Amino acid sequence: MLAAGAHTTKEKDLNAHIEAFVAQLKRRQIQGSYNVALATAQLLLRVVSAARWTHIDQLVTQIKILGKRLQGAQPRELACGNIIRRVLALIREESEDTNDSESGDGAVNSPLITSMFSLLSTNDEYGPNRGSQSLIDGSGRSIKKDLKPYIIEGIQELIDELKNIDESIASMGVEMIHENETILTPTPNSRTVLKFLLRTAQKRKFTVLVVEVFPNDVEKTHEFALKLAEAGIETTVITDAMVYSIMGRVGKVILGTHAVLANGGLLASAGAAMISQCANVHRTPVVVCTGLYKLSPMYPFDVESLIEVGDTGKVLAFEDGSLVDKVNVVNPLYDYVPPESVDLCITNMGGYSPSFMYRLVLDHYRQEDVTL
Amino acid sequence: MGPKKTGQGNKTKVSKQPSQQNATQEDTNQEERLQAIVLSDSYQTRFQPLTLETPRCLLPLCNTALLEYTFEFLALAGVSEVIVVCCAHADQIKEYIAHSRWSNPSSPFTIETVLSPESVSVGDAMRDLDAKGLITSDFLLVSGDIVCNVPFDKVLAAHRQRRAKDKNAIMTMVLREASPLHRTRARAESAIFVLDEQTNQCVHYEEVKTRKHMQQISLDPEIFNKHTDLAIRNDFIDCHIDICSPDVPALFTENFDYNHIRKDFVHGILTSDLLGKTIFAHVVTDNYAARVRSLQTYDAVSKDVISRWTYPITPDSNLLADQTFQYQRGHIYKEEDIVLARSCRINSCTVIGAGTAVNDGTVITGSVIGRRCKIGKNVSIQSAYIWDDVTIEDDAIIESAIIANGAVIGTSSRVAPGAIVSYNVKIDSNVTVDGNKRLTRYLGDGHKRVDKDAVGEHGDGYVYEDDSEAEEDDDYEEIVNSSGLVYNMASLNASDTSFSTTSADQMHRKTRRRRVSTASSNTMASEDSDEDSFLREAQASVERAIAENHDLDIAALELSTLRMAKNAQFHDVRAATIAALIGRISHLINSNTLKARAAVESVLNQWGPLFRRQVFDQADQIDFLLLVQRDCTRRMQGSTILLHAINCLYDQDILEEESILKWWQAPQSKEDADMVKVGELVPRWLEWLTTAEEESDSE
Repeated sequence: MLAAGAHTTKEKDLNAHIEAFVAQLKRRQIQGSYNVALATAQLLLRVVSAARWTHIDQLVTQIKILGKRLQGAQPRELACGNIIRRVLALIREESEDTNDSESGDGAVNSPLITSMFSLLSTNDEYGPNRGSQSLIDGSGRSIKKDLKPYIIEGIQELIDELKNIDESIASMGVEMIHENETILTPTPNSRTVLKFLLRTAQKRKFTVLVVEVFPNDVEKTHEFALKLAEAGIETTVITDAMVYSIMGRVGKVILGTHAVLANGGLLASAGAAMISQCANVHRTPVVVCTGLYKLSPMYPFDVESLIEVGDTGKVLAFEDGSLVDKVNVVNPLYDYVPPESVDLCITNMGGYSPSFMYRLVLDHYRQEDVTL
Repeated sequence: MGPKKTGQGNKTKVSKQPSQQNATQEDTNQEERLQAIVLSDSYQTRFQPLTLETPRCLLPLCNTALLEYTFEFLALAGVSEVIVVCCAHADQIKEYIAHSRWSNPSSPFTIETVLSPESVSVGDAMRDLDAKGLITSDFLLVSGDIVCNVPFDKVLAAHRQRRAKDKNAIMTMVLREASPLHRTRARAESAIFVLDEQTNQCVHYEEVKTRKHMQQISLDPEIFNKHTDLAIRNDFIDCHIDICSPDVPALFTENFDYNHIRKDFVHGILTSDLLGKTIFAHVVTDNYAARVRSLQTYDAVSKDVISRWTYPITPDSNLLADQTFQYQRGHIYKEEDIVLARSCRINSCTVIGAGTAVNDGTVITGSVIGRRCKIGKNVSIQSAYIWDDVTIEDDAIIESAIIANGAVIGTSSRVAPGAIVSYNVKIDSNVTVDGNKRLTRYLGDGHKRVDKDAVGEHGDGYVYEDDSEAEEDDDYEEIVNSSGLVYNMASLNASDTSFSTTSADQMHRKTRRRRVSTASSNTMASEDSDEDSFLREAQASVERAIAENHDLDIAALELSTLRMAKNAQFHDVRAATIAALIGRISHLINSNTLKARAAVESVLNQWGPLFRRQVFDQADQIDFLLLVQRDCTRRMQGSTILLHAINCLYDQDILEEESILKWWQAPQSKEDADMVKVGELVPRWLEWLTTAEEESDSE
């Protein structure tokens, strides 16, 4: 009885919370794929713990509706949709598992691919869940009702994964970067790349060339370069125009990315496409560091619709009245980097070729959730 | 287990929370809490006849009400309490706010509407607010028609820092830098700001009247004494975003004639010597800030929003919950559910709302189309603003016009640049609406009017003329002309460039003139305006006393009262008295009433005793003599007057021998040719003085 009263106020709270979150997304007060992903996961945690359902499909539709709203708030921030799809997949999996155990036939409905992938995987995410599931199997029907704690636990794990993602990627740096190698990176706003380089610098001595990425990330470039220099890495900031001439001396291009699409293509900060093309001409390997939460099941049929167009004022000073009146300025924030230009994706689950990305997508998302 | 656990978690949280919350609340009270006053009324008539039916702040800009942009900015700025002051159309604004997402619990601030039905100006609204006592701390004052994405924390921090240092820094104006001819600058309302380069203190404000070809501005010379680096600037977009202290509404109450926040208030505060309040400017060089204050800026701000200068406040952010805009290459924004014929062409910088259908062969360029519009075949729409539910029939041509909700434009009709077609006006086929026409169907006085000439045989609506305003305000025409949707750039160009050159050379002239004035005012040894005015008044008072033959005591009393009131030095009192007396003497001489000696004696014997209350010690006497000498340089027969005056005052024991000698030895008494010349007779008198002394000694 008491719970019912608490429930309605809680629901109100939650609704207000969701609306405020949507407004913040629209205002770009929460920005950047990591922040959005983390905030989304935390919101879903609240939603699931407040939600009530008699059948698992109700929960799924509820979250799908929420997902559509969040996605609409920042349509080009794919991380938000990715997290929602991950959670949906999680819910479906949990429910299927309980159904399976009820019917006493575990093998029929389980996804085909998971088992094969598990052989390769070093970090089996769903392993523990499954283990715990099987332990409780004995209690029979009660499992259906107790689904919620497992889902919450799953989301909690997802949040932990998000928080530790940079660590697991950074640990692979030693295998990627050789002694005295010259690294070029055009994505200074990537935390992942920063940690990757800093961690590797503890064991290796190498040079980093940081591309300025005018106009959107110039300040961040300088901060990034300063952090590297403070860690004792030999760092040089170069202008965007110098990339081609210097590429011959570069050992590897390391890219951070905004999103990874189902075909292995990237949405990275503007300029990345040109630099990766340039690297291809010089046969310089292009390595992408990315957390799996950036992996989206979307396929780039219409590249333009995925690219966010930012503040025009960064390209052309607004003060300049005569130009403002006559020139149409576009400031795309991202570039589409085709999968052919990328040689390797380092994720928190290991390094993969871009052509293998579709497989990871199938492992992490359900086909029925691709369109929210 | 699960629920229990969470319960415990809650409990521990609860027990912790009070202390934390208190702490944070106190913090927020001190730092975070920020009130904002939104003036929903513009107190202007520029958008008439549109604003006859809808308040300005609810007019759609890129299919979103203007007020939404203001609230969005306030949310970004971290405001926690918004007070909307409503005047005209208060019910509409109230209803809009009540149904908007800002009244939901998820809104980042609390919102309150305050009625101020009698107010006819910003000043009235401020006085009303002051009377209601709603303002408790520093607040943000904005009008309901701004579009701004400036991150506000820095501005606010700077303001608070200044306030903490100096309680008199009552206001910070946020100004966006832009070139003088920028489209987003309101043509009719540009202004000159004189800022201290180092502190950004605004020391002078002057409104620019474009029509009157302003030739000069006058600055108080004191400004140059107080500030070393001054910038005189005419390149700001002033969108009236101000951070004000609670003193501001109080000052409005004190000065009941202040109406306009800039023209009256800022100008008044800056020119007032008594208040000692200071106003600062915060110049923003990146990000966007503008105000929709005229049709011309409506056009410009719409274009800015479409071309994403206002990012992230763009149509595709879908500010309203039911909006579904998507961005396409070339700044084209389309909502879901629109019907476009295969052969129609949508060119760049266009916004199209949901439910709109565009037929074959139609070309739309750089325009905003609202929701549920029906656009026929082969229509041409260029830089036009077409609001919701408009029907445009085949072959119509619309250029740079505003077509408001529910209007109908007949087949093959043409709406020329600059025209406004207000709500539900119907224009018949084959009619041309001229560029200067504003059509409406508003029934202000109850009876229906139809101008068949303007809207055609089967049309509905009449030409709106704002006669009341035109008679009252001679600037009206200028404002209408320059604030119209279309502005003749050529003529503007000439006027504004000529203005800027005059302002530049005005500056030179100004400094030159100032130099001259300092030189000539050396007699007064002061350029202080306060002292200047004292000098004038004191001199006038003595002259009056002489002319009306007042009693000496009364004249002395009057002088000392004046001195107290203006807080002047005795030096200035002496200067004024000397100027008056010697003026009188030279007048008597020049008009041949009396000879020099007699004139001096007659005046000084009667009025000389005034100096007894002005000259006290030797230093005073020397100063006095220097003043007399300097004054005499300006007079005919100055040297004679000087000689006789010294003699006369010596006889009256106002001047002592020792100080006369010291004066004569002092370098100031011979500092330039004029002074030397006027003193040419003095040595002989001094000779007589010393010999007389010796004689009396020997006696």
